[in-house]
Amino acid sequence: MGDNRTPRDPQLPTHWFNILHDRPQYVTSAVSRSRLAGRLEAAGEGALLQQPLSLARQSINTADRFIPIPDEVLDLYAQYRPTPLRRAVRLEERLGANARIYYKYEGANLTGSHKLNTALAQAYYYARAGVKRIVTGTAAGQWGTALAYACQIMNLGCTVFMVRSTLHQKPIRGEMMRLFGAVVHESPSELTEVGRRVLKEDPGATGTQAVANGEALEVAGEDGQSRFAVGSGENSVLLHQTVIGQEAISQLALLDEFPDCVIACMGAGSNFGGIALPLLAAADDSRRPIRLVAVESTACPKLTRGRYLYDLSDALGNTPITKVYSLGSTYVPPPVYAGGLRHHSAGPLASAMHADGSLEAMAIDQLTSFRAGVLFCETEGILPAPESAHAVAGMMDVVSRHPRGAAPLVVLVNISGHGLLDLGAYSRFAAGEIEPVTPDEARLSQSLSALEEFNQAIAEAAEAT
Amino acid sequence: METVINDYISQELVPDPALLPLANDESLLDSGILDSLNLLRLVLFLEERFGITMGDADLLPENFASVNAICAFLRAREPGKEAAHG
Repeated sequence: MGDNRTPRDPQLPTHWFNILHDRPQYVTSAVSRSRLAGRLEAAGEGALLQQPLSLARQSINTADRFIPIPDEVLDLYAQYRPTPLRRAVRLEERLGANARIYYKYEGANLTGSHKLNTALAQAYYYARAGVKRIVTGTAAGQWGTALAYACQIMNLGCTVFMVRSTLHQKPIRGEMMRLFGAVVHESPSELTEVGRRVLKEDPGATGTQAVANGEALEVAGEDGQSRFAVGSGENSVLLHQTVIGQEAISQLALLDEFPDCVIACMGAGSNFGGIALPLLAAADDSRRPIRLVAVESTACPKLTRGRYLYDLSDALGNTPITKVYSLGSTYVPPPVYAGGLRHHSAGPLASAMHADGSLEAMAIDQLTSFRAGVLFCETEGILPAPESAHAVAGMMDVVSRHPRGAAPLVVLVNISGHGLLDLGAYSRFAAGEIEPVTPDEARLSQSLSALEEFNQAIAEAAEAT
Repeated sequence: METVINDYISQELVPDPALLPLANDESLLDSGILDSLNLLRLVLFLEERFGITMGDADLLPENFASVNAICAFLRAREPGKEAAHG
């Protein structure tokens, strides 16, 4: 190792853990858009593989249980990993919990969230593939920030379409991305056909991750040197995040602990998968039971109220059509502060886990999540991101239901990011201005109907061929 | 080689029987036959069938524009493979 490198901690994993080796049934079930050409309005023109082949392979690899982390990426991980694992003793006392609560904290890196784990890996693979610029969509901004930084250090250009409602809520996120050299656009924008279409229908549109991704895809297709990337949902993204769970296993082992229950918030599944997948495998290996709980927002209840059907993940219809728990790609969630939980669908892997009962889901409203976030800050000195505050609230719900006379519950919760750029939202909470948010039932019903019609058309197309 | 690749694409990837028979110079991109998912399937097939490993730099649209283009690409990168596998 050269002198200019950060020393690697022995607890830093050298490999990503690949759940597809243990559970090949989780390989994404997808429908080629070409099967639908001419049959569905939503079937796009088709886009060549946006991901480098090496990343695409990671999403379908069932042969290798562990995949080596490239040396260059490991050096970058060493600058902030392993991340802390702590016991929330004061929170336990405050809750009067019959539980030992541990948390893994992913917010201590420069960009403030777990997203850096995959941003560094993706930027490495894209740069190696000869790509000159990465274009992406971001909801809450954690992914956009992480990717902007990763592109900066990999000498890649970066263009980010950030959902309008969250960019307005926390413009500093945009400034951070620009500081890292990214070009940042509000989505929906007038720059793309997708954005113009949305704005024509509703000039005040708050934006969604699906629209932001659609705009990013459109721009990525404009020249031969740019490619589109995503920060969650893809199997390869969850793979990169497994450093979280692997570290947690090692850190808990030093305390002679293994969790009964693992809890994380659910956007499309990357921080959830990152902490849960290695622990699921470790539990399987040692024949121990384990509960995996994914906490979503009541504003976007894809796991608790969605359908397990084929759906699009972008507004342009150019991403693969995958089988996921979804509220429909046309669903526009109300603008909650946990922008990272507003994606209309869970990723394919998390969806498959929910379908076979490997994960439980619960929905938490934002008022409850802010209460939990403040309590966590008061007791542990860490202000969780609004998304992570949902995980804290979910954890408190699980702990509160654990019987008094039973053995203490060992709980592990993932604090996926800090909330220091969300102080405005926390101030509004303190001022009593935050309300519980629920979906517009009429729009939700309309979107679910459209999703079912979309799947009927897929079935008819399959019959026709 | 052309026949092997044409057969695979015709049988596994062509979405609509109306597009058959597939000419070797037919554009796989303009016709919508190759989307990202089908391109990945085709890459995996070519690797297994011809005993090669493709890298990120191989995934250029011009290499997959038609059956003829795919064959030209494979012959250029793997001289002699056709005799062994095709």
